[in-house]
Amino acid sequence: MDPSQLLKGVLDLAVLAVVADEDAYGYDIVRRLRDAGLDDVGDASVYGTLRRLFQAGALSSYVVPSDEGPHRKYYAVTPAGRASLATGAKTWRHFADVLDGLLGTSRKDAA
Amino acid sequence: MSATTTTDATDRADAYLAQVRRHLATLTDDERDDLLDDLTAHVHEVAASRHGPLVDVLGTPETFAAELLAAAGLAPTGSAGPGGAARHTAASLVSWTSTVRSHPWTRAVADFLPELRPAWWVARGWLLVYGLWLIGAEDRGSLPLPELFDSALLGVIAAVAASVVSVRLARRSSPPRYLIVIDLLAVVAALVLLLRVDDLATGPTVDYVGYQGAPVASGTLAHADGSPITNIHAYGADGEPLEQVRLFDQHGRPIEIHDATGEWGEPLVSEVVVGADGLPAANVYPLDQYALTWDNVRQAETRVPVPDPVLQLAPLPPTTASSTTTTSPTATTAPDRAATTTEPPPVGAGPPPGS
Repeated sequence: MDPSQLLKGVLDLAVLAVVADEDAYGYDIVRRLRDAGLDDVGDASVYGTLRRLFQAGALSSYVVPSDEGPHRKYYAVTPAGRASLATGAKTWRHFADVLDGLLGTSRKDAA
Repeated sequence: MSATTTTDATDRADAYLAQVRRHLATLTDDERDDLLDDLTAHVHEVAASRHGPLVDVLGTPETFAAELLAAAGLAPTGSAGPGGAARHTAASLVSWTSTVRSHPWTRAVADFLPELRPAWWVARGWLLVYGLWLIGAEDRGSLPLPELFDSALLGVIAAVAASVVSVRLARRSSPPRYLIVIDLLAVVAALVLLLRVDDLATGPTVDYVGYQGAPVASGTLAHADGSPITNIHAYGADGEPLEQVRLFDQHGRPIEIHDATGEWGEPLVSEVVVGADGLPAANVYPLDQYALTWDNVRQAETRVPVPDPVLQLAPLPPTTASSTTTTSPTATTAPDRAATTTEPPPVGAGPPPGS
């Protein structure tokens, strides 16, 4: 199974979770997603997702001057973003449970 | 990090960003700047942290742009330029079409249309014959009925036959594909017919009837049968023609004839009579008229006087003394004095000169 296909459906949730953990700028978010284990996440996908979530009002942004290089745009989760993170998390857990159940059964059958 | 590698990294980042920007051509400037705002810092950072081509890390600029657009929920772009823009337009057109399609009114109409199909099959055959006749006929006739070989009966028979064939073809289990062409031709014929019906409603008269039913295209008077009146010849009770008769309607408005044309469509020009007050009087009859025609021999426009009608009229019996409409012979040269109505003459109706 192609992990990038799976990732597409849950990237919103992953980005929201990372930013909810701590305000971050784009590059930082990409790095934290990769560090968490999402090796395949594309830089462009993350930036596109950030823009969409920002447009949807799930994220707010502020600029922090940087000593080295250009200013950095930090993202923070808005209350609306937190709400959709909670809903998304619930949906994901249910989905994961169902799939775990299915896979567990088939494993038993295979054994 | 040395200064040279920093410069190198900046160049690589800028070059990469420029290419990504090219692949975002379908976006508005605002959208593109907004998207690239963050990315500039990011790509510079990536370039600075790694050696080697950025393509190895970020993928090709094209893939990068496509991924960016897809994730941002903007229309995907396969290529930069007008092709992408056209696709963008097509996409919004598709979404508009589906909005229209799902509208309850549209669905109500769509549900109803199949019921009308047999009526269209019949109409289609008739329209096709009508269309053929329209192409062939010089005189387009006065009825929306086709004629074949100058026979309305043959035309109607052909139309009915075509309608029967049309219905039979349509009811086949697999109607032939060329029927779509026939449908199109029938639609064209229907449009032409609509225009004809509009003509017929207006009547075959020369006058174009305006919105208030008043003649608008020309000030020309017309007989009840529609033939135009281009001049007026008044005769006295003695049966002799009158000169310089001024005509007014029931409101005292001068009756004028404008834009008159002769039998062959040639313009008729009238000499303008100017009253003693210096104002032109266009209601003085008979009009001194000539036709403007083109002389082929002399290659010049020539004026041909319009002949007066030749009439022999018997004198009328004398009216009773109380009548005020008796016209004396002297009035023929002084029509203003002959106007014996008790109302004052309308404004601008000064006596013509030479009286």
